[in-house]
Amino acid sequence: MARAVFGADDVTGGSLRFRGGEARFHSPRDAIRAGIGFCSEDRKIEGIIPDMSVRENLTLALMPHLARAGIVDTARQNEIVDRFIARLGIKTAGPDQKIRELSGGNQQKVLLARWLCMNPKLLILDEPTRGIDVGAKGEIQALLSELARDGLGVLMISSELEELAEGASRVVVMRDGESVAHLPRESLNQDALMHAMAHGSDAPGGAP
Amino acid sequence: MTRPEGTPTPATGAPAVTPARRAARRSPFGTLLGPLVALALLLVFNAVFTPNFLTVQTLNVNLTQVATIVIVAVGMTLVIATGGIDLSVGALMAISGAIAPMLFLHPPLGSPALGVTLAFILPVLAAGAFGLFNGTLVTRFGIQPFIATLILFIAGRGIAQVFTNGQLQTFNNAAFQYVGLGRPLGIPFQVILMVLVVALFAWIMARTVFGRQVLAVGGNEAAARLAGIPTSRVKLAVYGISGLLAGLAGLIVISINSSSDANQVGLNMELDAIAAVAVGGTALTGGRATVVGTLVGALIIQLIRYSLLARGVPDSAALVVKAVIILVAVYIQRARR
Amino acid sequence: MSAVNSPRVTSDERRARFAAVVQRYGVLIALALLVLFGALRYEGFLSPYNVFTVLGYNSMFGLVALGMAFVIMTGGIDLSVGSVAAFASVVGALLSPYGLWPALLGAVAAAALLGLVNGLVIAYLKILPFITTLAMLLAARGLALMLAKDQSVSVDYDHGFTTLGQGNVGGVPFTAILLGVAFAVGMVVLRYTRFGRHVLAIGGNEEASRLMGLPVERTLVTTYVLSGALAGLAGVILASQFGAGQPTEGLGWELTAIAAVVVGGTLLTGGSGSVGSTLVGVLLLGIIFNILNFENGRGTISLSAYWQSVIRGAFLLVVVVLQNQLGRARSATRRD
Repeated sequence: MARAVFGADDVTGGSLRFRGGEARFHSPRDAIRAGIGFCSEDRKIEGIIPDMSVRENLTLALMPHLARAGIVDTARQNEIVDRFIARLGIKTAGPDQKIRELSGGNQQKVLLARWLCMNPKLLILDEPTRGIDVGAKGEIQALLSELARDGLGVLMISSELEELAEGASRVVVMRDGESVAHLPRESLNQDALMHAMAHGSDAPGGAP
Repeated sequence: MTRPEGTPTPATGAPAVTPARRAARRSPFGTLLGPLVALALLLVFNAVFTPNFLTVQTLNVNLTQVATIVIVAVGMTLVIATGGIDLSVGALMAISGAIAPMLFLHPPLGSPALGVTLAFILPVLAAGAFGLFNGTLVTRFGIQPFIATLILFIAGRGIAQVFTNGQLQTFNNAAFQYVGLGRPLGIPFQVILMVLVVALFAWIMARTVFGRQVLAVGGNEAAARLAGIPTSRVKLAVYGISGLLAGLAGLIVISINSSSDANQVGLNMELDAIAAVAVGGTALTGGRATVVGTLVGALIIQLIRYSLLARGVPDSAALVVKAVIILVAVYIQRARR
Repeated sequence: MSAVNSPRVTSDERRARFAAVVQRYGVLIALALLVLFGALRYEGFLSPYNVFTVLGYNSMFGLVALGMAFVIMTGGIDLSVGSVAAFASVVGALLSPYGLWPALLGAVAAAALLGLVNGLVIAYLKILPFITTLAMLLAARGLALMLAKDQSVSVDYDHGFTTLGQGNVGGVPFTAILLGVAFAVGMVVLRYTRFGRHVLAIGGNEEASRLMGLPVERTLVTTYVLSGALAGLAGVILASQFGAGQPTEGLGWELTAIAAVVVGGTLLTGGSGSVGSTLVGVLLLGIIFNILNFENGRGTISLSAYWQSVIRGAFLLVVVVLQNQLGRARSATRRD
């Protein structure tokens, strides 16, 4: 579902509305150009480029904007990389360190920074806190809340109810690719989520 | 990742890296140290044991012989950096070498100048087009690179033979052969070309968006695609570049020989190029590339061959030695990971 | 992502079933059509002479393709078969004064030894098969040239060495019989022996096979030894048929063999495959060349010998592209 929105997989049906218009992305490039970022659930397989440095991983998507006539503006690149390492509190020996030598949480932060430095309108996150240590998890959740407050659209896919109940402003429950329930902020708690997942309908008394 | 031997591997996730080790990682000698030491040892060995080794003439012989390998191997470095391989380079050299003499021996519109000009351009472009054909098979049809390029590895030489009907084309054309025989300031022209190609592509890999895209595609193609990198176009480009460089090398070889033999031009070049890349420290699994390392790798292989020839070892035995070198180099690459 | 509406599923399934049928019987149908075409168009196409000439000549490619089939089923590749065959042809020619059997066994053993080196390097040093066998392509060529002193080696005609390539039983050449026997044995080995099952299991998933306790390394080494030995046998036939050990022969054999294996429906990624359809693939390519020869003879076309490798390349190209497209059609239903 998230992959199809981002243009990574073929769409089998339905329509997509983004910022007031019909949208259809044929490739991740299209989606990125429209201002969308996507963090895959599989950090190792679809996220990091293990042998490249933190610097290159962080600016991977931004690269076309960092270049003039195809030549990378390293000064600007370094400036942006340093800024995001500081802002997200990425623990690394330096921008030259290979990303695979970082902890899972710090790798995830680099991947978040990869999209944040693009100034996206919408960030799609597939299980962003899976498999990372508790400290980094809290930091990432806090960061996402802060970003959402500042006006960034965050679409997060998660199977952790607590995370959803606390952080989300709206939850759509999906089963086998179909949306089965819709929970707005006011009726959002772990019990309502459990109920929606079990019965596949809107929470009792919830808005239609 | 490659680092000097004896440096312990840091535990994953441990950011505690000493400044000294960081410096080692950042310096290009981190990757190049092994190959450079090997090159130095070979030079010392030959300086001591091979008569007349330290002469300008020996230097020129070795450099002119290595130039074509380096030019082809630079293209191979880019292909391998994307996780691919190009087995067709030798055959593409033969195609380029077969087309060029047709152009300057029978110049279009009866103009020798036009013939020579076209002889520099068209064969290289033809080889580049065949390279794009390889790239299309890999990207559009999803065929494994070594199978895709295996097709032209065999059929390409056949195409060159069909062009020339298997005949040896001999010629004597000073303007065209400058590319292989010219000596501006006493330096062989193809050596200048070699240095230019190495410098250009070392710069491209280090400083341009394209260079990073090549490494990203080889390092993790799925992630590169999700980060908006046009992976198919990047791969297409590297096979095209490999073809162009092979075409250029084909012109040099026939110029040196004053003849073009479709059966011989570029024979076994794919192995020389792969060996140069592997010996130079570029992993065959993709995601890393060192163009300068490839230059050093090619020099090592050339010096080994020269040492063998200087001792009267026949060509056929040199083939066996080369095979062993390839395996050893690839094995060392694997072991370092 | 399983939200696929029902009408598309059936059309996909139909396409997949069609693809499967094409893949299984397509080669056989193509072969039958070509034979029919040849029989109607050329006089003497089905004459025993022509049939046995085609079989006799293609027995070399058949044997090489048989070994290649096993290697590819493990997920590997053997690019060295052509020069290993050339090497064996030289060894066979050098040993021919001692009689057919010593020459045959000596040459096959020498070639198997090269296959053993391939296998050991691939299984234990973990170097990619195509790199390892590419290096062996070079090394075996070098060894062949060294042994032959850079020229072709005439065989001894007095001690029976040439009977293998030139003799026959009731008109059926020995080489054709050898080919039939080799493929029959190959089929039995793949289908009914533990080794055959291990080959397919390793090609399907090497890591899982290792976890299941299968002898992965030993099986890999065995397949490369087998491929080397069969290439060696082909080399002996070469020397015996043409009366000389030829260190520079065998160019492009690996292409023919790979094409034959792939056209038979064996996936280049390993894990599945068929010995029988590999033989059909060899014959298909052999008959294409036979028909081109007939056309050359009639003067409708005039193709020099140099077209051979171009045609082989084009054939492999068509085969891999087709297999890729068919494979996509088949997996389209499974992916969701």
